[in-house]
Amino acid sequence: MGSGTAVAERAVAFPGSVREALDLLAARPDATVVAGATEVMTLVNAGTMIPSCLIVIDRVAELRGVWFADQEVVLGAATTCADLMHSDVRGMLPALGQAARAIATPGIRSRATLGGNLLSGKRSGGPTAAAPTRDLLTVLVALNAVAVCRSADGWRQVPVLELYARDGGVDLRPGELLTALRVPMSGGPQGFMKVGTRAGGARPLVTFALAADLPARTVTCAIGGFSPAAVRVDHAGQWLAEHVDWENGAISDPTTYPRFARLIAEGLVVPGSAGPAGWATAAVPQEYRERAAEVCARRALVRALPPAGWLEQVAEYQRRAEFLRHRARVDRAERGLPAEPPVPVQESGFGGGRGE
Amino acid sequence: MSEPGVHEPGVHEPDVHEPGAPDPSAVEWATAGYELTINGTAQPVADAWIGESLLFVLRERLGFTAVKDGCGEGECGACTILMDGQPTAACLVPAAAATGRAIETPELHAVPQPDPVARALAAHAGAGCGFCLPGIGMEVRALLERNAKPSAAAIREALSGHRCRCLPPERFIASVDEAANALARERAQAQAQAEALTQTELDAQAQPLRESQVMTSVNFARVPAQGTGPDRQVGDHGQTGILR
Repeated sequence: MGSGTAVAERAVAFPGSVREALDLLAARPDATVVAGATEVMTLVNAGTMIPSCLIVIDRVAELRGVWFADQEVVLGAATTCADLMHSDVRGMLPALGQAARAIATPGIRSRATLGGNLLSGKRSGGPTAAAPTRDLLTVLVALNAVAVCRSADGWRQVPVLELYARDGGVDLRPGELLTALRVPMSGGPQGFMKVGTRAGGARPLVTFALAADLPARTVTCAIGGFSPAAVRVDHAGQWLAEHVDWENGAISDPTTYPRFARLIAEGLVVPGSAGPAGWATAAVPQEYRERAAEVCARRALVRALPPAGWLEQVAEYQRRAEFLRHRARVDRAERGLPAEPPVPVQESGFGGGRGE
Repeated sequence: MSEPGVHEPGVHEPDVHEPGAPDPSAVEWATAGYELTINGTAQPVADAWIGESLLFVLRERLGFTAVKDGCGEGECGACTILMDGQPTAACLVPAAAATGRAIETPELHAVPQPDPVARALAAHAGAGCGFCLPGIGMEVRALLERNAKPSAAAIREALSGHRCRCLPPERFIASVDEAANALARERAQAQAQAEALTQTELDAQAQPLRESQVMTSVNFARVPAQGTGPDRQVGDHGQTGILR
């Protein structure tokens, strides 16, 4: 607490830990918490935001990195998009790696963080944000991720969509910090597709993520990019799960691909009902958006579920998971990074607890 | 470049006052003093508004004008610099948050003597206006640092964040290829020189090294005596390679 009040006078603070950051946030409730600051700086450069105090958390080691546990992958909130493109993440969560690679440009990916991507844009009850850019949210929704928040009162864990209010604005409580995302392990192919206003780094028109769980024989998919928050498309996922030949891990009827794509496009919510799409993409006609969603869904499914034997695939994913888990643990130890992710000790599957 | 105190907060007022924006005259402009490490030199910045981007501070306060101000929203890539070796859009980094990071601007590599990357860009992409070239140069240096022989696809992906309105991408692919070849030649030359140097040094130091070798051999000679390894390990413990 002493450190918090001492630094409270300063306009820029660099907390060394989550606890310090929370103390600072309690001392300066008006402060802007930034990691990469790429979203905040676009607003500041445009003159729509004047920060009174910056809490810079991009050097908090607790918040940065990826932890591979037995049943889940824990992603630190201040992990950059460039880190998410690492081959370990791509191997375990291919859709997330693809989504991170599709975000913006190398110069921005080296700074922009996972937490910043999720918490950017519209605030709850606030004005319309420039454009919905939460590409990673689409993947995390499809993967049933759980957001872990920390405040002075303790931990709060909610499904990632509950971070947002009904209008799609960020609904983080005052004095609360998003520390990590827990993604349950699903052994199976995943796919991600994005259509933007041009090929390079661009605001998305539609983002689509699909994750098949081979052992559980379920498919989850989510669509986003046209509204502030992504949405799960459960009816399409359930329909698809009935049409997958799980014994062979393949889709035997080729007409399944266009039918699934049609199902996704027809369920596309009109932007007006889910919140304004923003300046950059509002002029795009709805037919084009539906067409883009259809193409995204079809391609993602074709890439995720090509004909192949499912038993071999399950074994392959388990083998790869075991290998990555081991290597990542050794790698973290060698680099002197914290072994424990920023999640409560009791519920995590990690041995050896770090006290609260 | 500019003394502290000269700077007027009003500079940051948006040209068009948008309806949702805060009234600039009513807010308090929080300031901070900090130190940036630019091209290996510490550069103090005093009394600067915390919302100033690294791009603004580099250009307007410190005079590193090779960093270009294009769009201010990370779309054009003209302001690309290297932070801790990573290409970074300087317009989207608060300057105060860049404290303690090693910042490289194009000046380090292209002034006064252009490096192979700058030479290759001038040779192949010199016909354009040149506004995007400093940023592209920094991106190319970062690319060649991690991939000495990038494919055309890798070059396209790396340069995807740079808008050039004058020239086709093939010019930049050609210049990256040429820069990669030039750097490979330079490295080969440097290595040959270093090897020649090491050889002469080794010849000079050969005698004392052999003496120490004897000492080490004596220590290692104890190992097989304890029954943990065969005798031929004595002269084969890795250090002999230096003497060749």
